[in-house]
Amino acid sequence: MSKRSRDIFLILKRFFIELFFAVLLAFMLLGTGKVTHAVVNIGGLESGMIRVVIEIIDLFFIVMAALTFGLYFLKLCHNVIRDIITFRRDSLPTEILGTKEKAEKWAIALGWWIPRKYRGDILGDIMEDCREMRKMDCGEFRIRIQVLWQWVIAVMKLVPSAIFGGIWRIFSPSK
Amino acid sequence: MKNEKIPTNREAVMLDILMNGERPGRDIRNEYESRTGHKMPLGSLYTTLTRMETSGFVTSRSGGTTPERRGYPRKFFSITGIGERALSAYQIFVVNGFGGALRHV
Repeated sequence: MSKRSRDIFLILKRFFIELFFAVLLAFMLLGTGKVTHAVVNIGGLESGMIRVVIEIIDLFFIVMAALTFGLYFLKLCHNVIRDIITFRRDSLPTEILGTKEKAEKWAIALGWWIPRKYRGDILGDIMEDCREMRKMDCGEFRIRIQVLWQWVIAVMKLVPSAIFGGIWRIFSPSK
Repeated sequence: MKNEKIPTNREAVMLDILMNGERPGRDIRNEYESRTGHKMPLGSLYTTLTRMETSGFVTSRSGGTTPERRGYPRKFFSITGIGERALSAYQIFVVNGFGGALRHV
């Protein structure tokens, strides 16, 4: 398989996997709406105030599902454009693409969730950690778990900090 | 000394590590873990270091990269004068207790 077709395959694969999750999420929200509808209307009395409440619940979940799917889809399109740019510029380290070092591939693929300010530092440190763990004869599974754990903590800590930092920069009184 | 910020326990350990000279983020993490026995994820490390940089305790510079880092640059951190003063204020606070810190003020 040529590099070009492999790139296209990777982009399409990611697109359809994420599209599946977007649809799944939207349907889960609609399902939650149906369950809530049934719970509120447990006596089967669709009248008066209960009817109004049920209408609001239904509307709320439909809007939430539509919003979730819409935002997810926008993010998907953004991902595809970003992937095309990345592959065209050969930004993805080719020595990783050709190897079986899945932990590093995961780190790079998931790295887009880490705020740009910290991304390089964290990914570089993760790469060094992976290399060191391989030297210590750690199993591939353990290395992947380590990468995932570092990524989860990084996203949990750095994304809120970046959001609040951005908000603070906008609303803080000028010096 | 009146408006001197006292670092947190974690910040103090990291400042103490930086007293030995400029260090990259990962080295600080490794030494922190070996000194305290507590795990420090990279997310926590860089949040703390950024907070310390905002407080003026440390400064950072971007360094070169190595093949192990797959092209990602290394960031070096070093302690500032404010950081050194904050560390000594912390030591006074811890050694002499709250009363000692008040006497110092």
